[in-house]
Amino acid sequence: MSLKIAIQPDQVVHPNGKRQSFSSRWAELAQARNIEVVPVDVFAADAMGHISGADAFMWRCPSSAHVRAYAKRFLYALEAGLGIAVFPSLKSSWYFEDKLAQRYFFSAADIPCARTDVFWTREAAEQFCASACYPFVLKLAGGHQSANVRMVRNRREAKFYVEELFGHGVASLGYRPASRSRVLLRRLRAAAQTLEGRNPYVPGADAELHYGYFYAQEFLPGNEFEISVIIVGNRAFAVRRFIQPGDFRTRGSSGRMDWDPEQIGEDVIRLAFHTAQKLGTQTVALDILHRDREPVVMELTANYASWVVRKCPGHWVLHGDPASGPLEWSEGCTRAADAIFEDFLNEMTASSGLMRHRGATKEPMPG
Amino acid sequence: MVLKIAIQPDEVVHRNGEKQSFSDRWFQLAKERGVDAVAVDVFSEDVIAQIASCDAFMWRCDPSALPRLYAKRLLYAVEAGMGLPVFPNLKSSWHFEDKVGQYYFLSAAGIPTPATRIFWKREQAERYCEAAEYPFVLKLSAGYQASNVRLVRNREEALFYVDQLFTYGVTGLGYRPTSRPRQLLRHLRAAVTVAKGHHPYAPTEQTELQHGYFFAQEFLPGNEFDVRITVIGNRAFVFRRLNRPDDFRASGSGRIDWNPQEIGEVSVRKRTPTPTATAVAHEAVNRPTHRRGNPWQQGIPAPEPRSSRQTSFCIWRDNEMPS
Repeated sequence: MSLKIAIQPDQVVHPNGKRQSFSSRWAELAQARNIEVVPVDVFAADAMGHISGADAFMWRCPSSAHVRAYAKRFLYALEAGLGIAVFPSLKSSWYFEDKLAQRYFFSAADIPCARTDVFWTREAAEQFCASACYPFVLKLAGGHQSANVRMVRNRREAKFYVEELFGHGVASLGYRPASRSRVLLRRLRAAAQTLEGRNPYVPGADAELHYGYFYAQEFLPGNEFEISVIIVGNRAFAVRRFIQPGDFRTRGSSGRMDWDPEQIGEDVIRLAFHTAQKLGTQTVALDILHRDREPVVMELTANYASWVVRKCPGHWVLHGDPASGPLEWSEGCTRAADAIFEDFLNEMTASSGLMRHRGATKEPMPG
Repeated sequence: MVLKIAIQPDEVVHRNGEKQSFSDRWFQLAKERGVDAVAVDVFSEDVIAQIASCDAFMWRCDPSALPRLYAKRLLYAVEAGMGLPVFPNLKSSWHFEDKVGQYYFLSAAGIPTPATRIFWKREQAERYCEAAEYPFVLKLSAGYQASNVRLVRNREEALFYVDQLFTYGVTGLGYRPTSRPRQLLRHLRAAVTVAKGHHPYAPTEQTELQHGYFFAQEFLPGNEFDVRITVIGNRAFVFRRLNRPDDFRASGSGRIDWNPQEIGEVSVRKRTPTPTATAVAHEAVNRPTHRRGNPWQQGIPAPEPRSSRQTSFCIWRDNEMPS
């Protein structure tokens, strides 16, 4: 009996104009291997019914907050409730756009990372700001491509953000402390919006409200670039992304980059493999900086740009243990979508012999 | 070697004045069995280090928004990152205060539920309201003791909530549709509060902002009670909760009947076929309503702060029940 994979179509056009569609490539690869593809619309009322007839489900879901809120629940329901192989699996998506979850995981798994303090009460955050070592980096739990990351230079700035995060909450770190008259103007503008029946602080469709926590991370000076390591199974792809002039952040995959593998230390690659193994993830991208000479993981993302991987002249392949196993260099370009699909097929084949619970889905509510 | 369990202290005083502390009892039990129990403070900076010196971690966490959002992350970090046994583990807490997550899980696992539609786009929700069968039950994803559950009786009411959920979001379903002047007065009052530098729509430690979805569930008339089944391992504790007076909601009514003779066996048995049943360390399942003679699952609730008297519980073990 031939395998059947349900796939949710995805398409992204990057700021540099490059198109990316994992689903199109997966459909091509499936066709080449005589695997039936069932295109699904995850937002349709009968999505679950469509997927329940397949052996697996794949969705390269976007990072927008609204879709993510849905995807997390939907993917876990399929993985745990329907019992089919899912990409991304829970272990691959738990940390998706959630720096708070990442921080606690790094700490619990003893993964070298930048020192991070998270405060869950206003008083604790205020106490920290009174004696903090400035500057430090303030981050929101979600936000990609350097959005929602700010360098906080003094106590006044810090207190402003404490007020925002424990007051109305924020969708981004766009506002900065301002003069009294400007604050008053902001407040009047918000009041006018409220009068029209709108909540001035509600996030847009792509954002979420961050509230009730304060995430402060040590600033690591002297880094001219960050290394982005993309792990797919036992393969590692790496690229250096340079910090923007006059800033402490990169511009994600829109800024200056360098794909020379000679510039990447083996310790960085091993740290990335170690982290991915601890996570048990199918794929993950790690941003790595250096504290003195030691590599530290700054953040994880599942939504890396596929063209960045394809441009790598080769990749490392790990055999065995991340700390001591041999690292082999494999020359030539690889597509992330191909590597993910290949691994996923192996995962499906491995799990096909296992007992699966396959429940019938209910009819949707009429109307 | 002596086992060592890290326990986060918890204490709740119920409305009937009864004190509840799972941690106190766990400390007692640990002592009786020669297990070393260590109190930890999850909100301290070195909590991970405190837990790392132990063999397991237990936390009866609060269902209110902020502790819950923190607990989900910390518990998983300890379970997956440290590899320690954790209570509640991921499978026990995934659905905690998340009716949207519960619906998708129950649906995927083929567990009967009332017919439910969840819309993630305003247009879809509006189209649904045009043709829906009224009344239906509107729920927010989070909220316990029947808060954030409303019976929507007509299109006007439904569209009011669509507007709320897809524009400014809500922290509760407290507001109902009202006349235009009254609505303007509400806006004016809120605008004055904002101008003063306060935040009328802001979430709090207890509540979170919910928006961007519309959760509609079929109304099952003729049910005067729901049946609450708390499953712990292979034990089922059951009681009936009678509806609040002149209301369709039973949760939080305080009108409880512990008579085991009133409970259908099928309700208790039907709990077991879920794939996670054996892995679930502690789980409570509302099995309230019957439609066409079958029990239907309303949702998997968070542990209620207000507990019932343990002494009155009916206990059935799977292996003691007639097949």
